[in-house]
Amino acid sequence: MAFLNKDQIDFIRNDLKKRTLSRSFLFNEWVDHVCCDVETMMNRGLSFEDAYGQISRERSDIDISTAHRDVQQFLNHRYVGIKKLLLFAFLLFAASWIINLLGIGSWIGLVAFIILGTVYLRIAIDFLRKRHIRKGNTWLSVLAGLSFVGTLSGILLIFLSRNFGFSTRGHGVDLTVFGWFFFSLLCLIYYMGEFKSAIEPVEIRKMRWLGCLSGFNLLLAAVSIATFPLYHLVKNYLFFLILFILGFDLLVLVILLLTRSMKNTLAVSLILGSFMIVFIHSHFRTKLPGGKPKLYELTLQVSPDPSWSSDRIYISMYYENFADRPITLPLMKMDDNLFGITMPSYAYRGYLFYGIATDSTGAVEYFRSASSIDSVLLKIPNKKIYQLQ
Amino acid sequence: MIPRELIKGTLKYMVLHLLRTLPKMYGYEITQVLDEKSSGRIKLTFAALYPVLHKLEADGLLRTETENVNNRIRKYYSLTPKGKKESDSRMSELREYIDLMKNLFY
Repeated sequence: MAFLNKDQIDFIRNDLKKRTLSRSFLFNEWVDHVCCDVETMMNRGLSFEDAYGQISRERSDIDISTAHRDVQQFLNHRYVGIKKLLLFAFLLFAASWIINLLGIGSWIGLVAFIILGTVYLRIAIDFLRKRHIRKGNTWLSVLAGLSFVGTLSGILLIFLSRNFGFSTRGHGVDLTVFGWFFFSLLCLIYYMGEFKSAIEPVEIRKMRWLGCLSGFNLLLAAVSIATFPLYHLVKNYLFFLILFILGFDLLVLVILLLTRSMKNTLAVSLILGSFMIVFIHSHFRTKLPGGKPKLYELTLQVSPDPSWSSDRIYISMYYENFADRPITLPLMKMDDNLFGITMPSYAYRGYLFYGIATDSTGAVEYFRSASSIDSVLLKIPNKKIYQLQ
Repeated sequence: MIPRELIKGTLKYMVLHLLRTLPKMYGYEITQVLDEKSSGRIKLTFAALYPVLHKLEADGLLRTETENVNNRIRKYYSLTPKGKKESDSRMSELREYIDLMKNLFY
C-alpha cells in the first residue's frame, strides 16, 4: 500500500489552498479525499506527480464549492428562524422605548423579551436534541433553559411591578441578570469547546475571539450580580458599570456586523440579550418616551402644628425589609395643611412611612418619639389622605 | 451507470445502511465501498456525498470524530443511537418500497 508522505500532503494542501475554498469547513475533508484518491492511483502504479496531475484534471474544484454551499445552506436554514426572531425582538425592543403611543410601550417591550426568551428556549431544545452528539450538550441545554426561565420570569415580574403594583422585592431584576449570567456561561463553554476542536487557523482565531467575548460577558454578568448584596457600597458606581456594559455591547455588535459574524447565533443572542437586559435597568430608559413611568400623587393632610410653618414637610420612608436604610423626601405644600408629592408608580411601592418633619434630618426623630403614628403602609397608586393627629 | 436522480434520492439510505454494518467510516471510504459493492455503477462525487453526511450529522443521526491519519486530518462518521433506530426503520421502509416497485414493474 502506498501512502503519501508529509511533503506530498503539504504540496496537495498548498495547491488546493491556492485553487479552492481553503477557508471552508469542508477543506480538511476535501484534502483527505483528494489524498486518498491520489494514494489509490499510486497503488495502481502511477507516480505521485502523474496521479495528482490526473486527479487535478478529473476532480473539479467546483466539487468543494458546491458541497460547501449546500451544507451552508441547510445549516443556515436551521437557524434562519432564530435569527429572524432575534432581529424582530430587538426591533420591538427599540420601538418600545421610542414609540409609546397610548402608553403601550411597556407592552411592546414585554413582547420583545418574551421573544428573546423563546430564542433561549429554542436553543435549549436544540442542544437537548443534540445531546447524543456531544455529552456536554445536555448541560448547555440546561444553561439555556435557565436563561429562558430567568429572562422570562424576571421580565414578567418587572412588568407586573411597574404596571400593576405587584410587589416583587426587586427579584425581577435579579432573575433577568441571572438569565444573562447563565447564557454567558453557556456561550463560554460552547465556544471554548469549538476552539479546542477547531482545525483551521481562521476557525481557531474566530472561536478564540468568541470565547473571550463570552468570558468577558460572563465577568460583567458576575460583577452585576455582585452589586446586589453590595448595593449600598457600589450604588454610586452603578451608572458607570451600566454605561460600560451598554457601550461594550454596542461596540461588539458593530464588530460582528463589520466582520460578517452575525451568523454566530449564540454570540448574537448573547450580545442582544445582554444589551436589552442591562438597558431596562439603566437610567437611560427614563430619558425615552417608552421608559417614562406612570406618576402617582401622594397626599398627606397634617393637623395644624405651630412648629410646622414651613412650605414643605419631609417624609422618611424605608423599603419593607430595609428599615435601617430610610430615604427622606420633601412633600410640597398644596393647600393649608395639605402636602403632596408625585412619585413614579414603581419607585416607592412597598415603602413604609415612619416619620414626618419640617426638615430632612429631623424626620426620623420626630415620629420616633410620637406614639400616635407608628407606620403606615403606603399603597400607591391609591391616592390617600392621611390624617395625622 | 445508475441515474443521478435515483442515487440522490437513496443516498441517505445507503449511508445509514453502510454505517449500520461498519462501526465508523470516513467520506472517501464510503465512496469506495459503494463503488465496489455496485461494481462501479455508483460513483459518488465529493459534492454529492458530503452535504448528505453533514445533514445527517446536523439531524443527530451521525456523530463525528477527527483523527490524524498518515499526516492528515480525517473525519470519521458513525451512527448515534437515534441514527441506528432511524437506519433500521428506514431500511424496512426502503425494502417495502422496493417490493412495491417490483410488483409495479415486473
